[in-house]
Amino acid sequence: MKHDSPIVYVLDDDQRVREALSSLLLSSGLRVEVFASAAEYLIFKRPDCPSCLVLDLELPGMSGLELQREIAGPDAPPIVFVTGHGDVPSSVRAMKAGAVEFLLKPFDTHELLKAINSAIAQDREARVTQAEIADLRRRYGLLTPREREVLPFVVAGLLNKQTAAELGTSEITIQVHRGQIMRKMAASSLAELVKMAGKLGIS
Amino acid sequence: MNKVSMLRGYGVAVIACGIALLIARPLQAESSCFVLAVIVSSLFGGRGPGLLAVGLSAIAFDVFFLPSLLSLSSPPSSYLRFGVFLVVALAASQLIETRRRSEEALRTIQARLSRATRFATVAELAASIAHEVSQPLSAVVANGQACMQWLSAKPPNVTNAQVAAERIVRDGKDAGEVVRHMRALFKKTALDKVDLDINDVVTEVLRLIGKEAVQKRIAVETDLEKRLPSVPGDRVQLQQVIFNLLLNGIEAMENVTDRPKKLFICSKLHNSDAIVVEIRDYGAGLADSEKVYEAFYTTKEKGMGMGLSICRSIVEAHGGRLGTMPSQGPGTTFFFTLPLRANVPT
Repeated sequence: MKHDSPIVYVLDDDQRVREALSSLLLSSGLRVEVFASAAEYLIFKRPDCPSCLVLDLELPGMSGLELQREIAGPDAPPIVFVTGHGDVPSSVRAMKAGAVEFLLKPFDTHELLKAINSAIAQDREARVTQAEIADLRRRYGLLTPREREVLPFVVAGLLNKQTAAELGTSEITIQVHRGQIMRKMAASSLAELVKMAGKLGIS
Repeated sequence: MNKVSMLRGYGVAVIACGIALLIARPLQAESSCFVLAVIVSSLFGGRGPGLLAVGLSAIAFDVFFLPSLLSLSSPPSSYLRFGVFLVVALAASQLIETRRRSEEALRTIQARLSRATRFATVAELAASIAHEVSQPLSAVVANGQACMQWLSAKPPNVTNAQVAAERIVRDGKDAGEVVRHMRALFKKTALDKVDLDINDVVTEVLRLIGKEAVQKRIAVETDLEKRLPSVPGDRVQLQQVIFNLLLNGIEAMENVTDRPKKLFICSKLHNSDAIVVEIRDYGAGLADSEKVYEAFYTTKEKGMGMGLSICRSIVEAHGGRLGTMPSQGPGTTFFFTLPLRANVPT
């Protein structure tokens, strides 16, 4: 299978459910990894590919909600909760903490697959954005301290002359810095540079 | 039955007045003795016997203690006495009537509560059962879908489809098993004794309670003696007893943080004529190990204090005993015995 093909992590303490979901997802053309407990999931080294986590709410040891809290972060896969006793408070908590879907057992397989697919799409998108930002950060890292000082003035739309006055240097120097910034950030226009700066949180 | 107790009340009135008559003269306290008789009759039998006692004492006074001529010459004291007796009888019977009525009300509440407890337990069981059913059912649905997808793949993957189909059968049976148990649970309330393997009963309850224990992070350990002789018993009611004792154990460990939460269940032969089941928790322990069996006595914030008293009556209906035994270390050990067939009173 392709390195980029998505993978679904299934975490349920009931072996019957694990087996069934694994078969269902494999037959739907998805890669599957199953886990019986949160601890098993936590020590697993996840490959770098789009993924989602199908998580049982009630688990021995760390519960589903606790695991959700524990792994929360940009790296965590989107979560689809499935549960036998769905009470309102825990579903609200799960959704508030960013779960994609909260399904009650016995679940509708179409609904489950739909939720999984939308979770994977969401993860794929997030991963693209993240890769973009990581790339921008890397490029921003190439700038010299002085160039980083100049950048905000450039994206603010100041003329070289004005920037030079602000920083107490000559217009020529600023022009050189500006050229370097455009080259290092691989920006083809000022508009693109402004957009990049926005993504990096520089204004 | 009401007639019998009424007759008994009148009998007591007659006897009380007779005794009063016998002891009044030697004690030189006619009035006190008869007042006492009136009070006793009223308290025992209510208004009717009380009034009878008043009448009897009036006659007794007239006939035995005062010359009949004198009674006419001193009507005020005689009437006064009669009046006092009457008031005493009415007051005492009123008192006893009020008490009887409140007892009646209490009994009604008690009956209603025990029904409520049954429903509460049933609701809890229903939740467990719903979960127990939805687990295999989820698996069946997912396997079914998978099976179809394996078959419609190009080329069809028959091996995987077959595995999925086999799992459908297996998990479907599982769900059916749960339903069968559920039916058994709600079937009847009268004692329905059959030969039981108590270990089976314990295992079934553990299955129901397993999820709860997992949620509360409680380890469940068992030591069930193999090849125990079967005991005559009502499966559902004994399940309820075990269920209740285990739930109590789980609740007793609610606030335990400084030691592992553990439930320990063992079954063994007891004096070769009974089977004993012990259920130990590592919870807070009991302050009063006898009081817990009293109806309405509870140590729980939301408890009704009915569980253990119902358990005890169920075990006693089986000819067994339910009690606590001293446990080493923290927690409480409950046990109940079930006599083997030879010792069951018929």
